[in-house]
Amino acid sequence: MNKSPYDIIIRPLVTEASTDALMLNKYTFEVDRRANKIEIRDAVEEIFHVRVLKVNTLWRRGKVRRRGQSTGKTPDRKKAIVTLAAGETIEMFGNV
Amino acid sequence: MQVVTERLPNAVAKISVTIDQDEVTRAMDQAFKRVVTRYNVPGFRRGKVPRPIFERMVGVDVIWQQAAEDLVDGRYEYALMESGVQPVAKPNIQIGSSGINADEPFSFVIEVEAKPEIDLGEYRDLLTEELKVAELTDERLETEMAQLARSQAQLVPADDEPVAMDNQVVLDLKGYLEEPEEDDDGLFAEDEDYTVQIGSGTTVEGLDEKLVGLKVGEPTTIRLTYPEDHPDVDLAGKPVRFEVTVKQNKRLEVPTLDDDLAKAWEYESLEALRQEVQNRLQESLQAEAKDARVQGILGKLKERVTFELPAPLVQQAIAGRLQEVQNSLARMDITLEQYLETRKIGQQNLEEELRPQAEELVRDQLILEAVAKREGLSVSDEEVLAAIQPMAELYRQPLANVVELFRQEGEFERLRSTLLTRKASEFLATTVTN
Repeated sequence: MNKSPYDIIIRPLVTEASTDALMLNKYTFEVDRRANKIEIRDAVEEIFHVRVLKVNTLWRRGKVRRRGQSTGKTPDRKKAIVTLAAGETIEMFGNV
Repeated sequence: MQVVTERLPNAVAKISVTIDQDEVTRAMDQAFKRVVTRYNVPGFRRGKVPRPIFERMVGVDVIWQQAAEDLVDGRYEYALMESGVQPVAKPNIQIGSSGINADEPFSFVIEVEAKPEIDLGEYRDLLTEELKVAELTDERLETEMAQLARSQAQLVPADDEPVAMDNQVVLDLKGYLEEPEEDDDGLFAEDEDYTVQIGSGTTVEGLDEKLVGLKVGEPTTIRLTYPEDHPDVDLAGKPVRFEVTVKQNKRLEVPTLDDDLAKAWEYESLEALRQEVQNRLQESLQAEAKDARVQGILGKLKERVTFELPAPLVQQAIAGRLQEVQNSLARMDITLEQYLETRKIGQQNLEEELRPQAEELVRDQLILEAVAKREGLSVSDEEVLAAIQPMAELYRQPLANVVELFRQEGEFERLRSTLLTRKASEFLATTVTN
């Protein structure tokens, strides 16, 4: 499989929690659902030219949305929290 | 923070204020704290967005604007104080550097119509003359007494006597123009049972005096010419003819001045009344003398000191004069509209007519204020309160309520400035230097 790193990393997530995590050198992204930790590590290293220490991933389940009779579901997403090696930073938020 | 004041023409003051960079930074921080609670940024609870992210998502302009507003609001009063400018209108504030850059000094310019700076110069040489109070003559006193007696006079019917001065007559009257336009009999006034006080001067020039000597029931024709400056332009300067018939004639019977009359006014005796009248006259002479002296000094000062008048103040003064005109018209039962109608002018013209007077008033006022400032005169809260006291009593309200009301309406400070002007003119009236 030869995916572009820009396909794996969808966008950085900016929330209160993620902003706090920046202090610990942890950067949060939304990533492709099919990507595994190895692929995410490689992608981040390639895009931002940094050294990644560790990657934690988690599923963000879509919510059930109802509109009258019909029910639907917002899509599931995968979130990755990437810890960089000490001293490395990412100038984030230039959208990917 | 630097304040630079410039005086522009038309009594406009221009105040340029520059605020140092670190103060600006502080203001930006403050502004951010306030602004941040107003914006919703996804991913954050309200007010929890860190500043860098806020600046990226919402923009630094928002913070900057708030900071600029805060700075202007906060420093406006101080800048005015610093520059000594007393504004008389709403200021026009322009924010100088449109700098999005937070780390530059911030500057803004206030342009406002303000009371002009008046340099009185050495004016004390105008105060060398003694206050001259005119002597109260016996003659003046007697005239005053006679007038008092006359105010108590009774009208008694005197239909079989000829009309004399001071009589009150009732007459039928028809007024014709002597040179009417064609197809017009020239009738312009017609009145039945018209009451005239002879010698009171309330009728057209000389009409009442020409009634003297007439007998009741004898029709007469009186010819006269309206004065050129009569307010009714249709009649001014025109010769007219009045056909009049006196129907009633009443003589004024003046009571003699004696103790009984004095007692009617609740005085002990005629002597006490005379004393009271004398005091009153003395006071009014004193006031006249003071007024004359102040006017004289002001007149000379106005020649020496020139300054421009702020338009809003003049406008206020004109409004005040207009109100006075209206009041005096109302006493004659005429509305302003009717008055303007007979004079065939618009309100605009009337205001222009009042303008010179109004300008003099403003000029006097400003000079008096300058005098007060020069002489270090001031009016304390207690003095203002003392001035409000009688009004409170008049309206039967507790003093505190009235004061509260005055403060709300800004009347308190206005009263203070009125008192200050009065003090200044009192100062001019009574201070003698050599």
